[in-house]
Amino acid sequence: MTPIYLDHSATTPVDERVVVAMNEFMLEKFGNPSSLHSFGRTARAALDQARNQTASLIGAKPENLYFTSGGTEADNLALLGISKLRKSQGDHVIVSQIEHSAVLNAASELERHRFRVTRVAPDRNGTITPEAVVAAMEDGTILVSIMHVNNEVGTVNDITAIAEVVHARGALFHTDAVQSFGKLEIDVNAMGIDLLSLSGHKIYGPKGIGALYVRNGLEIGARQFGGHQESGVRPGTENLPGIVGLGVAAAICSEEMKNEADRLLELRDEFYSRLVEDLDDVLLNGHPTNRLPGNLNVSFLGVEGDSLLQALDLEGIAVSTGSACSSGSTKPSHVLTAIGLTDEEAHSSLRLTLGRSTSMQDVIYASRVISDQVSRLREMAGLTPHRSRGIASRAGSSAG
Amino acid sequence: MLMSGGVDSSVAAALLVEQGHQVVGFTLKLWDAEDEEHARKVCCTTVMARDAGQVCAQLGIPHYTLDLREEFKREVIERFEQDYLLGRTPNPCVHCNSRVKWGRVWQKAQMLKLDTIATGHYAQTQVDEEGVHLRRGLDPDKDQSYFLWEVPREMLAVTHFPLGGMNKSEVREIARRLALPVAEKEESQEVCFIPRDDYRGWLKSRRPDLAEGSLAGEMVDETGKVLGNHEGFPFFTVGQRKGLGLGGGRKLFVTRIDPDSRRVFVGDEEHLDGGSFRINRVNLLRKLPFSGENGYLVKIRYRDPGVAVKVEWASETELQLTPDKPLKSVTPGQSAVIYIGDEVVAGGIII
Repeated sequence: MTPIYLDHSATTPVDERVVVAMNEFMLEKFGNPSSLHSFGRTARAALDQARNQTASLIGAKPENLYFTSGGTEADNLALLGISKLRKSQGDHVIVSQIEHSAVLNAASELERHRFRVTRVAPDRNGTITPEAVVAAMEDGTILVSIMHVNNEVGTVNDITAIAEVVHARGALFHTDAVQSFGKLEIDVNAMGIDLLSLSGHKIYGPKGIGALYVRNGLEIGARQFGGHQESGVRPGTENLPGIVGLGVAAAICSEEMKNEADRLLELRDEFYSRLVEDLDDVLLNGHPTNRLPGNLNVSFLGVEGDSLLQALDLEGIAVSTGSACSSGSTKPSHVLTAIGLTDEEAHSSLRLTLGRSTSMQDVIYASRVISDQVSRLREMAGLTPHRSRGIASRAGSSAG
Repeated sequence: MLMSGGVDSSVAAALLVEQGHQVVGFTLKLWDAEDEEHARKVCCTTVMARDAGQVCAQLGIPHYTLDLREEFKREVIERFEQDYLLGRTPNPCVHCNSRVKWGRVWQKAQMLKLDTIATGHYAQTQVDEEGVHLRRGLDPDKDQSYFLWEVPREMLAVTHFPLGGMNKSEVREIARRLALPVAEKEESQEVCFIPRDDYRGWLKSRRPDLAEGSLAGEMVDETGKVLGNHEGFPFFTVGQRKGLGLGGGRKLFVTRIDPDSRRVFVGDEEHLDGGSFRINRVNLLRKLPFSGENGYLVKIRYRDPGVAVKVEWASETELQLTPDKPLKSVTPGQSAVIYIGDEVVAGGIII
């Protein structure tokens, strides 16, 4: 049978309408937007249109958007590009403990350049509260970066409230909106966002394209040097097929986002109620209600998440444990640890992220298979003492 | 299927797929390589996991990694170090198989409803009414049954070695026919986690006190005459000839290491000849009388044709092995594996 893909927060299939649009800009309209002939003009027009489409989804002016190679580059550009120019005003930067590694590691890079970084803890639901941010603010704080939606547990932060407290102390506010862009309403002006990172491949666009929004009049230092493209902030011949793809994907989201969010919410809630009906000891990780519609992150106590993922994979169901980046290592997810899960709870977690291809039949079938596999693995765990020893030793809680 | 990223396990997986089995590839993560060059040469590192992943993708089978670094550190690396500090010469590959690989892989297999462990070893298993038999691989140059003596019987009973009846050239041939990306890869023979095959340097880096001479002592001949000094007995192994630091003249060999007095004994080649010796940590793969002469053969190292041997219980846990003719360099810590014909019937550690 066709595999069921429940990992839309890792990446999404590219929408066919996007593929069609991109093809045109590889096969026929392949010009360089900087060229002065008809090919160049055609490309330039497409670049402008895509910038409009993308900017309008976050309520921004097109000229305030800089295309990048994706969310990671946008995050790096924001943190490093702002800090570099503002060093004279302060040396303190705030991020949260549950940011994507792009932000966390860019912050570590800042530390190597003699910035001080405070990593704010989330509450038990994965929320970064404005109060926690206020508590971390200092006179020398120049930049605060807090994600809009967490990529693992799906908790949505109150960006408007956080931006307000950040501005009250004269600092700039950046948000990594890779997981919310195209899924939740965003208005950079109403929400008071100074910088925002977004990406194409989480919204049925291509991989390798993203953008950084930078508020009008805010200066940002380049991280690479070359031609005049993207106002010199991010030089290099534009990835036009990718940019066109991002634009079309954004335009589709602006049409379909609302209905899709309602649909995913219903599917997600049905999924969760089926799991807790069939199984005991299922923990919901993240906020019970204030979370991304398609995100379900649960711990099945007594089951090793890696084995459950593999067992489901062999049954044709694609899920993830923690974030894709941390798979393959035995370290528990930094997000789950930060929201207070024990190592064992974190190791027994599964992230199910639904998307456009997910149907109610998928939810019914997948929840049944997951329940079966969890029950089977729990039964085995009860029968083989060696296994529980394995978990204990991973958790570092016994000599094993 | 355990996939190291090398030619053997890749071909073994390909054969199982051709035979129509449901195959799932597993690469074990056992330790972290210090540098990429070292990582490329040996199995069980990230680089090899990537190669194994490529092979699995080509074969159209799932591939996962299994992180056993903690177990490997505890059961193999730390024991390896400990053995040298006790004046023994360990066989880490043997213990990796029996104490790390098989148990955890079988546990994982059961979780995924898989009923057999397969590896690319050159050895054979056969199950009949007597239970499981572990036999040599058909290719005499490649036979790896020596490394498998300590794997418990119940594990061997669910183990299949697809290459057991083949020789290396056939395996290479199949790898080329299938255009496997690893067809021309070199073989690794070294202890995987020791960079540049330099266990002495590795020990020194782990135990700085050793480098400073904490286990230094005297080199003496069999009469007790002091011939010189050494910088630490863990840097010597029985049978060693090079690097004794005793100058030219007589051809001298390490004949014995006494960790208590820290003395390293050297002697002429004939002093290496040993008579009867004992083994412990015995793993019996067959119920055998172990009395008189039943055609037993013992191998005390991997590259060893084996000699006829008399086997008796010396105590409840130890076997007394008396070879028909003297064996050179019977080395404490090494494995002695007992065969009848091509079947492994028992094994243990030389004491």
